[in-house]
Amino acid sequence: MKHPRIKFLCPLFLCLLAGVVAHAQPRCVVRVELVNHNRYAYQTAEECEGGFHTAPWGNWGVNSNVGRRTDTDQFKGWKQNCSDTKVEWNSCSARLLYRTPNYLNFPSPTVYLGYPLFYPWRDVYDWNDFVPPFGQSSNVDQYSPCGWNSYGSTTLALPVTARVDTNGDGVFDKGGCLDLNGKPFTTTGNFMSVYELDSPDSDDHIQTMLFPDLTATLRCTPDGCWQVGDRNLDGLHDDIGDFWSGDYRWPFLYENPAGVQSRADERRPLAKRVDASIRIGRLQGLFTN
Amino acid sequence: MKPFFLATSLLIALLAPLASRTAQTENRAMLRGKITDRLTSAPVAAELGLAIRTAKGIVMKHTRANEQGDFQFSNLPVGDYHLSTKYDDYAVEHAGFSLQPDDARVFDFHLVKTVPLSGVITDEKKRPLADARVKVSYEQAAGFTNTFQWEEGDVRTDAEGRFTIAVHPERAFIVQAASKGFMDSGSPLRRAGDEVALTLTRGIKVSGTVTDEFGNPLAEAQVQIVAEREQAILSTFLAFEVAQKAQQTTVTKADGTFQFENVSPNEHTLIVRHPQAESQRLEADVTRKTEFAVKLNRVYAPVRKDRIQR
Repeated sequence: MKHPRIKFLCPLFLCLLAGVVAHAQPRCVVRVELVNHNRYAYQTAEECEGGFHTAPWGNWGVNSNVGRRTDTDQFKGWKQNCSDTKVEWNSCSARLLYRTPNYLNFPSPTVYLGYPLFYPWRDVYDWNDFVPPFGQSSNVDQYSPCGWNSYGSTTLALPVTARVDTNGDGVFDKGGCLDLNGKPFTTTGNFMSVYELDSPDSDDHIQTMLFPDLTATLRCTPDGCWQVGDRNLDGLHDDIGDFWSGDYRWPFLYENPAGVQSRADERRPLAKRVDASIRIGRLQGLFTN
Repeated sequence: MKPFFLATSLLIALLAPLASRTAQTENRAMLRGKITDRLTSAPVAAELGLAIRTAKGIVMKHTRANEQGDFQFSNLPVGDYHLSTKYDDYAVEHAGFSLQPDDARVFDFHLVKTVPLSGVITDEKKRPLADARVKVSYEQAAGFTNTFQWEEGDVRTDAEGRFTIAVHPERAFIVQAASKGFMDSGSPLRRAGDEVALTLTRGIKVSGTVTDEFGNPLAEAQVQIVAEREQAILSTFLAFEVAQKAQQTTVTKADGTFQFENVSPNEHTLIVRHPQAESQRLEADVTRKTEFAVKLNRVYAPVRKDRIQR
């Protein structure tokens, strides 16, 4: 069935959109963003050669089930100030030249100690032995203090019934986005492939992480939707900044570019070079006619 | 008690296969297809994102075509579907459809390469805006549709306010730009080709208070400011960020105050809701006034006669 289209007039801002036509069908448009947090790196070995690269530093991007890698801030590191757009990682921490304290950032904001003796075969420090998820990652050498990063999004237009003002007070109280109230939104097949971004040559795949399903429950009015747990209606879950929140899920499988896979619960996960947790961070819906 | 447990166990044993069969019937549909390059007919091992809307909720799935370009999703429930392709340097293609039990649908995609689109983002005084965020939003079909970040792109402008973004060579789109302190804005409808020049403007700050009929502040009232006419962009393009500026929502603080940033200098509607008060809708011409005092009448639960103390 073809839907009738309505041409609209557009003063001011809408003059920019001359020629645009709108679908005369009530829909609730829902935007969902996935975010990562708790980012760690272990013995990275990309772009160690220099040349036109700024070895060992590099900005990292994320290819995922909800996004494509971009040279922005999908997976912030720690070299620059967190408010910068491109915050870099040491992409070559496996090389001795880049294993001095200036190049490493052990996962404790309160302890500053140099590179441990006999590392990576032995790590004499115990304070970095409890890095999530399993507290046995003795090879951690970098972490990002830059909080959560959005790495991909999806926007859905969901047909809904027309909004109705049942009590005549001028405010809609039925229909519209409210049709979606209480429904779960689930993403399956979640993965993040982390890349060292390079120009002019191609990007380097560091590692892929596979994650369990993520679910958020929609909380809607006729005019819009948010997720349960977003009390101030800013679109973000209220505990998005809490890296201990149980809503952040860790990988169950790591895969390196050579195709070697390691389960997360293995004693020594060989394929593990990068670690991070993910969740549904932003969820917001708007009604449109 | 024993006969009761026996009867219950027997009932569960009888019903369990039935429930399992119902679930199997519900999830029996499948879809498959092949992805090729439109020019060379060579197979493309692209990724695919699948959005599903069923009576139970919304589910996103993802798969990857094999080296021959073949892909398949199986055990799918009855519902509405939207499929999107994803492969580096190729433009995204879509298919929207519904599936019934036992349906087996085939979708073949013939991909074309993206083309670069350049442009510049400036402020009202034509000064270049560095690190502005630029995306594209394509014209959408009616019904259940879906787009991903990989289709919108996401690039930042350089120190001269310039950007280059990959776009579909054939589909119509608008360019969206955002920068801190400015209102998100959208370009006119366009296709790949000429450069884009987009100017961002600063919006207005709108604030106010919500109280009850006695002047007591109402905390956690939901306040919405809507520019109805500007919302049309959302319906056609799913240009979420721009539309978001046309329909902002917040909640009042403990002192009943609220505030919106970067509101367009235009006619708006303020809608105020509170679970313990009557909702209110008022016109808000923010070109004349930017502070609003909203008074809501509390709703009192009726008191039963026998509870009234004499």
